[in-house]
Amino acid sequence: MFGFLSKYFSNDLAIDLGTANTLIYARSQGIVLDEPSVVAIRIEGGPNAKKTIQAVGKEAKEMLGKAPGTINVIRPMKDGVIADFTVTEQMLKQFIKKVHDSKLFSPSPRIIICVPSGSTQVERRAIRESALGAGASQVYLIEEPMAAAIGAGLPVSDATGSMVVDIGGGTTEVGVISLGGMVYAGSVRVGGDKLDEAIINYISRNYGMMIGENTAENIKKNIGSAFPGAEVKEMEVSGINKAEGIPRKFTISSNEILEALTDPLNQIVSAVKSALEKTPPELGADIAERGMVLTGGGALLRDLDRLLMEETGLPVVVADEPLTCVARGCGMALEKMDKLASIFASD
Amino acid sequence: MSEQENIDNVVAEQAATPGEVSVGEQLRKGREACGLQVGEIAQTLKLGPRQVEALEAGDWQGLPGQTFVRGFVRNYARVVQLDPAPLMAQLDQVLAKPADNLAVQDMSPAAMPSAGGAGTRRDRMVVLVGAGLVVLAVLASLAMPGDLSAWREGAQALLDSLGRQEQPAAAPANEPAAPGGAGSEPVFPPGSSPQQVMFPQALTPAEGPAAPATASGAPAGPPVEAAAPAAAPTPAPVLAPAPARAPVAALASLPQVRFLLDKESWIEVRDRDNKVIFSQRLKSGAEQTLSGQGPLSLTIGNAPGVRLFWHGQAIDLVPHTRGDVARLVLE
Repeated sequence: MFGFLSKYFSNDLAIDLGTANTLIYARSQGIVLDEPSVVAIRIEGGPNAKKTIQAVGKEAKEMLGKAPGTINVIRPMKDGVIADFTVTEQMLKQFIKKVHDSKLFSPSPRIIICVPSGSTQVERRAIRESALGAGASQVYLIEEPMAAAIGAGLPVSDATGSMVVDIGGGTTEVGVISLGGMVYAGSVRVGGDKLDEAIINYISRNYGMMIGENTAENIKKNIGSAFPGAEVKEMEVSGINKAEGIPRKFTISSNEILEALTDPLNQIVSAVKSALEKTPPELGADIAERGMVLTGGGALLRDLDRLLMEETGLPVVVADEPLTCVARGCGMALEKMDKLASIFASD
Repeated sequence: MSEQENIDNVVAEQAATPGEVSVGEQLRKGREACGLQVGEIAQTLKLGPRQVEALEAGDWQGLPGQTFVRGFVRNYARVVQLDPAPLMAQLDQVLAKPADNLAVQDMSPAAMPSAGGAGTRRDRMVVLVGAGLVVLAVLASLAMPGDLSAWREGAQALLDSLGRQEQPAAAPANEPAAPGGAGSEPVFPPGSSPQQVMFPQALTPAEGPAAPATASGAPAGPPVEAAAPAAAPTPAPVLAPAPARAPVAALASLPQVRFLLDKESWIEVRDRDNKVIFSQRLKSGAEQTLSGQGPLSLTIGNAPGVRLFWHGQAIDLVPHTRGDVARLVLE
């Protein structure tokens, strides 16, 4: 009943609860938190056996793949949705506590949280419930392509078609937006994680070496590319030789990584093509003139825009600061949440 | 529209600073250094040659919004192997940051009714109404005199008048079936409460002395019966002439039942709506007069000890008596 009073005690938050990273935007403060969506849980034995949260965010991510048996490092989000409800709730609670100034009142902000456009009702409900469980007084959902488009500065409320491709950690979202609403939304569960996985599998198959997730991510960031470029980069990588069981170093080139990434990248390309097929012709004309905008961490993969340009024959631009587009878009929606209704998703 | 203004400003700014090489100029020089034609750049960037020329001319008007301009410039710079960072910084000065694309239309659209849509507004209304009530209560308590008795009397008077109004309101419904066609006459005498109408002896003091007289004079009915014929022409024979003549005359229009009790008895009377209008245990020697909308259903306990008069006529209870209880309907 006194929900409207809570804004005087708690700042409203917009949260990009991503598979790889969680970003929090606070009203009139901008992005206040950018941490990996990782939680480390310490399992204590003995007479007082209990589970405690050892670390959240960056600290926990550094433990990934290095923790002993008593510390369970979990990525509670998978494919853009919640894989472990309780841990997600705890993680959100910790993050909200981090950005909450007032120590007098427990935080009870109104929260805008983004969901993949392809998520099911059950998955949306889980996200909503976890935010409520983390202390939110009210939760509004916004679909990721919409948030990404707003964050990229596209004219979403105009009567022109804007196409946005948001390549996140778990999902790739393709949206065509006009007049403040989504005309088409598509989602494939291919994202940064799938690219890492593809690199791990490729190296395991061709080099007989096992590497960890963090190493795979580093390879992708350093020498990964989506389109054959003029210069070939190389990188020295350490892993465990499967045959010998001994750690070894080896060198891998960007062309090999390009080969490794072909499969997941093709899925992204076909998602974009299928969105273009299903776009009404009038909006298609707008998209042909302006092209599409890439956002999300995946947009930083070298020459991904070239790949999409060549595959679709349309101009492709990468948004400024693609990693924070969704969070900034959520934040812009937050600033105007009392006036905007069409951009929010229903359950 | 604001974008248009921005663009005008941009053009003006570019004209104002001729010393600095514009973004478009740098791109063009870069392209020429690489030995590329406009068409080749357009082919690579999947843009129309017109758009590439617009980029080189710094004619942002012919290009879609800022996001795209920045993206196109970045892509172009990469193709001609220029460092995009300084170009972006220069564009930042020239182009305003992406305008507010979330412009909410100023027109207030007519809202569709939705269930539970305006939750917070309703919350606010509840609180405002509550606060208003509290303020009213405080004001009332300040304005109220210390002595509450005047209020209580006023409230009592109000209740009384309400009770009086209710009774006539109910009466007309009964009237069509009422015998005697008392339609135009007031059902109750003005100034009398329902209780008084139901037990008229309470309001006619003259009958008070008369009743004891009958009770004490003789156990039998003769005096009353004698009085009845004598008073026969008057509409209210049993009621002695009293100061309150008008009310009595009004009462006479309703069927009158009178009980004289020689022994203790119990009497219940229901009117035509089957509503109990009288139900009481009466002592020996008591007298009870009732009136109500007929037909009246009577149940009389210890019937041999009760004498019943209907419109002043004595009615024999014996045919209606079974055991000691008489049941009959008076029409």
